[in-house]
Amino acid sequence: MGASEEKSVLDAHLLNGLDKLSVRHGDGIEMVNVTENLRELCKRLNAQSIIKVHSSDLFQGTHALEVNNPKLDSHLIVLSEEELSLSCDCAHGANDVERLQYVTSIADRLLRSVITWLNEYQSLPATLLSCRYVEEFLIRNSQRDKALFKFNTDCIYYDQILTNIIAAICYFAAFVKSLLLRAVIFEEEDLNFNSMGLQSFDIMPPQKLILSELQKSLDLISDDSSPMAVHLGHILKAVRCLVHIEDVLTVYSTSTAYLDELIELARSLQSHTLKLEPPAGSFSMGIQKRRSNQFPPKNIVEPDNNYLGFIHMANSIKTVLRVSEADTAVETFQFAYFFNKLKQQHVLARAIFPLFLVRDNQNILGRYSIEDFLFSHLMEYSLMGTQVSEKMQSSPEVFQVLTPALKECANALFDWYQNASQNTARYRQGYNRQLIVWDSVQAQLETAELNFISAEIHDEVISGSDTVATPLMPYASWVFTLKVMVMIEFTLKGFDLDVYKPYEGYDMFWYVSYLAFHLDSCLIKIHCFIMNRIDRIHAMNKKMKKMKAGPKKSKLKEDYQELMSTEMGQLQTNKQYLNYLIAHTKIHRSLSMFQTLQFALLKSHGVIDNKPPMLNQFANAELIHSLRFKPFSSIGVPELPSYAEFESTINRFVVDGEPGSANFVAEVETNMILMEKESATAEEAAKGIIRAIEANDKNGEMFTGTKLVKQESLEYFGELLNSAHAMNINAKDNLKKLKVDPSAAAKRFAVTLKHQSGMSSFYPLFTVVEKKSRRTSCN
Amino acid sequence: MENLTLRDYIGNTLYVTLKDGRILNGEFMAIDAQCNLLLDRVREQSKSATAEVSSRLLGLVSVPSDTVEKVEVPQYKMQEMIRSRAAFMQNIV
Amino acid sequence: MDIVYRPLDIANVHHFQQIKKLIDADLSEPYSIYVYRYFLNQWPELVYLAFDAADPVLPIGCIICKMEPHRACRMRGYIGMLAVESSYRGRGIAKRLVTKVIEIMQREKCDEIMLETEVENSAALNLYEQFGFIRMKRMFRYYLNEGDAFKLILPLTNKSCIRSTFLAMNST
Repeated sequence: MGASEEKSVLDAHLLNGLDKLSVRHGDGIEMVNVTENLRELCKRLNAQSIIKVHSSDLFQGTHALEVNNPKLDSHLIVLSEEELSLSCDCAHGANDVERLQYVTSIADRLLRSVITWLNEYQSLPATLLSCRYVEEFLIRNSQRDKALFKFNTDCIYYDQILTNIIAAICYFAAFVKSLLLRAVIFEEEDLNFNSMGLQSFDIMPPQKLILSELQKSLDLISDDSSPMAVHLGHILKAVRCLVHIEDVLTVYSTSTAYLDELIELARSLQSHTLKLEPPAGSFSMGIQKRRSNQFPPKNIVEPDNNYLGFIHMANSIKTVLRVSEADTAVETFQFAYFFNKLKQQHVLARAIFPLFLVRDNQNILGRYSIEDFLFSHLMEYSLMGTQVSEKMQSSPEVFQVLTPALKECANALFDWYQNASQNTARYRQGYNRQLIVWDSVQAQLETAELNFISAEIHDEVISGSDTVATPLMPYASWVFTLKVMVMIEFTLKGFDLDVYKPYEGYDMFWYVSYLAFHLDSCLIKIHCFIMNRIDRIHAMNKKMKKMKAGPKKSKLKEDYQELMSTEMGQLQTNKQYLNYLIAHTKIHRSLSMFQTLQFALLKSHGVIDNKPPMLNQFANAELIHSLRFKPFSSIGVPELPSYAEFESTINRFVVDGEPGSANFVAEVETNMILMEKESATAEEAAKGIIRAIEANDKNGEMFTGTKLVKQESLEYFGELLNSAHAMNINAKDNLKKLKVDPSAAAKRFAVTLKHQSGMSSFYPLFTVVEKKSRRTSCN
Repeated sequence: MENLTLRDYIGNTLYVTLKDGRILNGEFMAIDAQCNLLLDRVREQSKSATAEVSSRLLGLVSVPSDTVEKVEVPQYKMQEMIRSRAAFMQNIV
Repeated sequence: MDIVYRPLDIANVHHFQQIKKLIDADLSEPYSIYVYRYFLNQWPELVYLAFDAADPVLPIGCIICKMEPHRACRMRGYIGMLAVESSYRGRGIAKRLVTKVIEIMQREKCDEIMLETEVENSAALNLYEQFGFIRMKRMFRYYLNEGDAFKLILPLTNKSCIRSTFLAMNST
């Protein structure tokens, strides 16, 4: 063979993707043994050298597999005789009863593997793909055109039932893959889809075919009332429900029929007590050894009796579907805010939410454009009744200057909604990135709105304790509100995720109270504007009534009635929504204030400080503080206070003097009273919100917009209420411990951040504990 | 072969026969002073107990020196490498 | 018991094998030879070993790091692996190894040091937090064994405290 012919033979072999191709290298091709040459050349290298492809980064090499390394060489997987010899072409089982039992066992374990895969975050090869029958189906189904591949064992249990169950589960898996591809959840983190090179997931037959085959299978065993057949029938129906899950996105179905059925079936399957043992070798690590595989070996996971996991899956998806009932932007917003907040929803539901909410063509729930959606958020908050919104109707061209900023704003809003669906850790990270975007959008909108102010298209408000009227910027205010909410969420979420050490607690809680203070000012101003607007509309009526009949009176009456029908309703709702926001912010302000006072009290006793406890040559307290506040360092307003300012605040709260001395004790008492006031304020605000939620927003106090997340929001505010309560009790307990021997407190005690069930995980309690040993590192 | 350096081999396909009988071929990415290899786009051929040959793709693989029975390159490739090296040396001179 | 601390001698193959053994034993994450080559051959000065003075043939503890520019605007040191043989634990050897490498990285003008560790690894968290490392973020299911992880950072200069977007624009 000539050199170029040899080359093309080799190249052809190299390029050929079929796994089973046996290539006998050296077949007619002359090879040269270079082993010694290489070894000699290596001996001449100095110890530190690596000769490598110039452009490549050795970093790639850190993900390499390794020959003969049991953790990195899938060839070393030891397979039993049964695993090696299991044939999918013969019907295992000596008689029909046994064959039914085997098929049911395989299907049962496979169905439970779905839960292990999705709820327990195991890999695809360690769960679904560990089943020989699944592997076989996926390999052989790819070689057929449209008809479904069937096993050929001459037994209907295998050929007409197991086959269809497997096809349906693969169909469902292909749907899950499509969710991953839409980048709303993260591969490896939220979900593993290592498909071992099996292409079939991309060429599944239509849903209709899968469903009709499942029906045929059901019909085949409908007359068999044996417990085994009943169990198998339940599995078939459960799998059918899984196949229907995609309807929520393919046709945006809001029907919960299949989800409810899945729940019932899960309960039933869980309660069956059959002896189910799949044929030896039918679940195996073999696929990892047989097929192309660039991953390390993964032990297969034998699923527990975890059918109840389907209930979590179904309930999560049902929860997400509730958003279709949202009537307003606020209801949609509150849904997104609460639905995934306290308990992480199932990965499928979290992936479905953003895709169900923002559909193809960028429309929201099939009803509005993203621009309209954004506009609703603004109108249901600060924009209704403003000069700006009035002028927009008559001269829209004036507002073109807003367009680029609004586009970015819409993107940021979309990102906010998508972030609400992320896993608990990513949720906080998403806010870290969002902060800068909101800040930039705010600046852009302010610039645009300054134009309107110069053009005299604006409203003015005298807010709170101000004496002078200041212009209202409805767009920028809405963005500012959302931005500060995100800043508060980001900070508090860190407590939930155990990101802060106790010594950092002071700075973080103080910062929350600072943010809440600024947010409150903004809310009050908007609330003020809305009240003024409402009053002015009512004043029109009063004035009109006093007028003499005539064209002026009729015009005023007309104007009044116009405003009553187009604005008043929404203004009232907006006002009550502001009441809710003010109350929620008050809770944060008071609880975080309580925490800072509590910390200061403990610092006064010498058991904690707001600096790293063991400062050494590397740890610089100011640098550490600045690093912690890095996400906020570039935010314009509210400006991040300097390190010195943080320090000055704690010094204000700390009690001076000797612990135990009369003055000291008296000041401690004063602080305790301040703390009680704060927790009482928080309690009252929380109770108000809870009352409103329980009254479905109809008690005239607040509009919470939580109609779709009543249970979740009640739980959230209930926990905050419990925390307010518990903080007080804990504060007294802390003092009791410290009072015993105040001078020895610093040596004896440390402080932890304690989470308690039923309490808000955003406000763990600063708790005085005995130092366990020299090695205790609590602070 | 005597004039070849490790750099001349880098980037080419190596055919590595392992002590356990497997044959790997892949793009030669890196080598260290102990002669441990790093290969990419690796194809692994192995023989089962019944002498059935099967082949699969592994991606990036570290091949420790002590697992290697022999390393080979095709004759035509060797000739190419030698010719390149000679041309390179000539250009220097 | 006297412990001796020495930098890595990359030519010592036995040391290399022992380092691999120490670290592979500790971890559930599997590492190939080339993971070690990535670190040891590119940053040998950032590998420190601990020996029992009574038997200083093979190391009983080691720490492996790297340092490189992060986002083109600051120098970031990274602590990749740390292991101490179980019979030698509880003597502050890990602490000494960490101190040593941070000293070096600080001298080499690192702006910050970073590492990841499992949320459940309280020994590691205690160790590093003593130095002033803080938990910058929590990562969901970061490890093969399904646990969450914390990303820890120790700031050494001001550059660590400024967002990269603004650093790149302002850095001299």
